[in-house]
Amino acid sequence: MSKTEPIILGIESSCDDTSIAILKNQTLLSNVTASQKVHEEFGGVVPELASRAHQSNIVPTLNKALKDANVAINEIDAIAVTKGPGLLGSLVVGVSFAKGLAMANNIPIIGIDHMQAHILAHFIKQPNKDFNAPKFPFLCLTVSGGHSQIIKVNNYFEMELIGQTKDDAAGEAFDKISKMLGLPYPGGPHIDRLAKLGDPKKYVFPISNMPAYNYSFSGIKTAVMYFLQKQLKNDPNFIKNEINNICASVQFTIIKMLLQKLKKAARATNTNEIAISGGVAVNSELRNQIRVLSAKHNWNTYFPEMQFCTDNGAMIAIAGHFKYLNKNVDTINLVPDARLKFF
Amino acid sequence: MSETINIANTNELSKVVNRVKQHYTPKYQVILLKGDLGTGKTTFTKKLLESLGVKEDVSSPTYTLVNEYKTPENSSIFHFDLYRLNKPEEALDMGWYDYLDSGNLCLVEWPEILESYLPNEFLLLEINKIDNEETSRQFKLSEYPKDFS
Repeated sequence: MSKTEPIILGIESSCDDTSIAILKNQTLLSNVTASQKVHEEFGGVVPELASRAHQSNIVPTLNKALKDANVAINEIDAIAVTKGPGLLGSLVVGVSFAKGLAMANNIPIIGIDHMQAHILAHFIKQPNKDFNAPKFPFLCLTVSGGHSQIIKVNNYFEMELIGQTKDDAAGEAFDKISKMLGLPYPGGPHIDRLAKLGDPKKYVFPISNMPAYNYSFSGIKTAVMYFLQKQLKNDPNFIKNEINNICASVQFTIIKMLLQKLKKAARATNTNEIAISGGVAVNSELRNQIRVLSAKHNWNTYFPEMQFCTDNGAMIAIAGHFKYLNKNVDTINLVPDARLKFF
Repeated sequence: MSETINIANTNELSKVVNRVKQHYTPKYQVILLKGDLGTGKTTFTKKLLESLGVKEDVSSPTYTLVNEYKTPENSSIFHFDLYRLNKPEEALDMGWYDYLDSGNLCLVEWPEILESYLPNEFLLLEINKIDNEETSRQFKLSEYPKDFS
């Protein structure tokens, strides 16, 4: 028996973050990611890289998500959980926990593809906020620490991979270059911040030339490394003095690569509905550049709110919502798949 | 024993790949890859996996920590990147021993943090630039434990 206005609980534990959210009829009631604050209020530990951290975080995160949503566990209609791709040990924690909850409450479990969920994050509604989602079919650029993909989205369930990175992800290039510059991990936000003070055209780094709509971000990482080595030989304070210009130039180049292929894909598929998702979608310059492009090419562009860009439970819950309404639920035999490929 | 192979550019990488594939992968389950950022650890892994028949794209596991690939014989190959780990225990938490116990080939980038959890036998591949040139590389292959006899 399924409801038309279901309450869905979404659990995400595929990588670093433990996050749980509750949606009622597509509308967000709560979205909680394990953090110092959850730790203070409900116990558990600050996120670190480990399935053990997920294990100690998951119960406090659930309790806070239920409390914030003002929902009792027996009001939940289905549990959506990331089944892959991701780190197996971390996925197992989320899936096993979801199974326990589903069995105890006699409700269905719904396995979700993490990459599909990043895209469906655009369809999360919020109370008292305008809802403006992309219209099918649209192109989605998903950029994060682990992924750089262009996907054609035909409907909630049918998606085609048009292009992707053949080596490093864009977010990884940000992180590794920031490490060379002595900035803390994760480096994307630091580069974004310093780039605002620098000249994006001061230094020129190579643009990778990949076939079709594919990306490569390994080359810029190496190019920046040689560039820094060379400059540091002449001037040991080069990084210190030039960090803003280096950050601005690196960011400019990475964004240029991302957008070149996106433009090409938009032209080839004759699409002007363009959505961006994933952790790198919070980058302010990427957002600026896309706004410029959308004015020029008459695109309608869509960015999820920051909390729905990074890994989060709400995107898992929204993907679960659509699968639930489509009566596409799993059984208790659901197993995580670290190598899951939706596309 | 150990040996050194110099190459002028990535086109010659097959020399190293063939040597490792013919001589070492049948003997060693664990291959450690040491080298600075951008020396070509992932590029080497790509070429090796390609020559072992892996059909999928091999991409960097920095964010995912470990990627799994299948050979045509349907056995798994695990490609690790432990760059993001801060403590050795995190390697255990992510299931390092489970991957080891699987008996499958494990290639490990940034393995320094694993030091106390290494098996008795492994192959170490150290990649260094030659004269700080952009394309040439020196690959040093060393078998462990070292034979002191």
